[in-house]
Amino acid sequence: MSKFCAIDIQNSNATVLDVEKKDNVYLVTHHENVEIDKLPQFTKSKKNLFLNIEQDEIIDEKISVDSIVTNDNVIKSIIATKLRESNLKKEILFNYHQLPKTQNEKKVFYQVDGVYVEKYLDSLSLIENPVKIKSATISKFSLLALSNECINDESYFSIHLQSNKLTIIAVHKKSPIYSRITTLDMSDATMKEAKLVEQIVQTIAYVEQSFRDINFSIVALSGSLALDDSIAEHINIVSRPRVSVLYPNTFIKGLKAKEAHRFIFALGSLFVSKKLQFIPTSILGLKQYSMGSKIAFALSTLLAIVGIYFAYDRFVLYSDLFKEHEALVGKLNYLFTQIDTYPIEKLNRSLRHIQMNKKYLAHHPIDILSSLKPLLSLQKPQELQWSYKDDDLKFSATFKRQFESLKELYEFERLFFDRFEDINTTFTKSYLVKIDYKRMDFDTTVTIEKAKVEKEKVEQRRVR
Amino acid sequence: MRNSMIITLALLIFVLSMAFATWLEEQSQKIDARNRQYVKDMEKLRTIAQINSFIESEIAPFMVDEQSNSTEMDKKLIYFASENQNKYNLLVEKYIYEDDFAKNIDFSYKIERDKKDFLNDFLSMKYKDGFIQFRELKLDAKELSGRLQVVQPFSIENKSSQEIGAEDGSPK
Repeated sequence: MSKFCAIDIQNSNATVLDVEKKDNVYLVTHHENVEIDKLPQFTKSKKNLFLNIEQDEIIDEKISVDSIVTNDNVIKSIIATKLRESNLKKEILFNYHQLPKTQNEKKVFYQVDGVYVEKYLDSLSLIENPVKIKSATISKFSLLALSNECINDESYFSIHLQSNKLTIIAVHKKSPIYSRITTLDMSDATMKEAKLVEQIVQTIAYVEQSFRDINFSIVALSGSLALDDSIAEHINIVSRPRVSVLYPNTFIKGLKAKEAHRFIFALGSLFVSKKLQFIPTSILGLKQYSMGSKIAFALSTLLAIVGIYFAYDRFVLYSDLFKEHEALVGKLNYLFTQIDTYPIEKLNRSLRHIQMNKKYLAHHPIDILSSLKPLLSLQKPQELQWSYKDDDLKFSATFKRQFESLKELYEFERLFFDRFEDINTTFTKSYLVKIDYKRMDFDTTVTIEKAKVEKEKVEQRRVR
Repeated sequence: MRNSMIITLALLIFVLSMAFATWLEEQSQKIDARNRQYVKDMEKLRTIAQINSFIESEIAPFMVDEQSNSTEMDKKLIYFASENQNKYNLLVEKYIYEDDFAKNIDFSYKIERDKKDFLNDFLSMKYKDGFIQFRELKLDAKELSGRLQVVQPFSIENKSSQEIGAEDGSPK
């Protein structure tokens, strides 16, 4: 839910509406009439201010520009030059929009509306903190904005009367193509009413005459006009477009239908588009500064939070590492006290002992004889040779046996070579078979060598 | 004005926080490096403990006294040979010589195959002041013969002094 404050600043007093917006529906929660002197104090606590500023003198001109000029900046520059020519030495704020073209026209006409900055700023200075101003415009644009919200027709008149000030705008495709503000200074009510009707009817006729291509369908009355049925009847009789009353209560709640007509300008200020606003560059600068300041504030706060978080994160990491460090120091000290470090002499002696072991006790005949135990238990070797020199180890054993029958020889042979195959050694083992099957003599020489180079077996065992 | 002060303060906090974080980061890196070093040191200490245990159980009990007196070493070798000369028919193959670790003497031996007790004693024979290294072993129908080396280790100091002496031109 958003909260706004719509203010209609007139010459001596101001109307202040507190508005809340929820789901495209505006709710007027409070309205008050304030003397102009008290407005600064009154608006001190308000935010999101939408201003309608009544100006006695405004710029309302039609300016023609050659149709070949299409660049917006050039058009704006031409209009500004022409305005300066007619309003010497006065600083002005203006906006413009193109009027409907008539055929064969070589020039394009622009409706130019503006305010004199000096007087306009006098009214704006009533707001202590201009940064809070969201929108500021003049009465006819507030009326236009509210009328556009209420009326969907393409072309229409919107006429407003407040005190003696009559505002008439002709609208085509949501843009004002004609406007007129008149002050009626008459004390006699009957005369005033007749004059009012005359003014309205004449203006309608004039606009219809000026814009013949446009078919105005409605005359929408608001302000005091909406409360006076006789005026509406008179206009209805004389003018072609049908007469109706502006009814903003469909989307603005919190006010009775008749009550809303007292605050048409204030309510209208809520809907004024940016193009129809008049905000001096000084205030725009202040707003930009305020926006920049807010962004800087948010960024610096974010940076501070990120910095603090980052520092905290590093601190947690540091703290964990420090705890780990203390634990490691404790463990290390404990290990230092528990583990002896031997003197270098002792270590050297141990190392020499290992080296001597490797050199002198690397191989012993018993080692190979132990691994050959399964064969030795089967048959004692007739001859045996073992030698170790220059890291070259060689062992050979000759097994001989005579058998009575071929069957015994066969079974012995199988058993012998099965056991030989089962011998587990890291060295290369081989055998040389010289069995005489005629004489049934078993004769085999087994060789075991340290495998410097892989040697081929002297004779492969027969495949049985 | 108030906003400006808050922005300045926030930026100051950010700068200080970042500086503090950077300092903590540096300290963390230092501590982390030290921790890793300590872990390595502990691993080294554990390895040292394993080596100590290995030395005490596998090395120290079997370590032989390394002699520093050259004459004493010669004597020991000769006396050992004399003790076993007749028993195993020891004959000098190569008289006392030195290598990196010890003084050595090489013998040939010969034992009749029938003397089984002798054979077993011979194969399990030990030299208490050093080592016996078999070089050759032959077994035929009659006898066991071959070559062996008796090793008498000397201490490092002895080796060094002898090398220095050799450089001086004095005999080893």
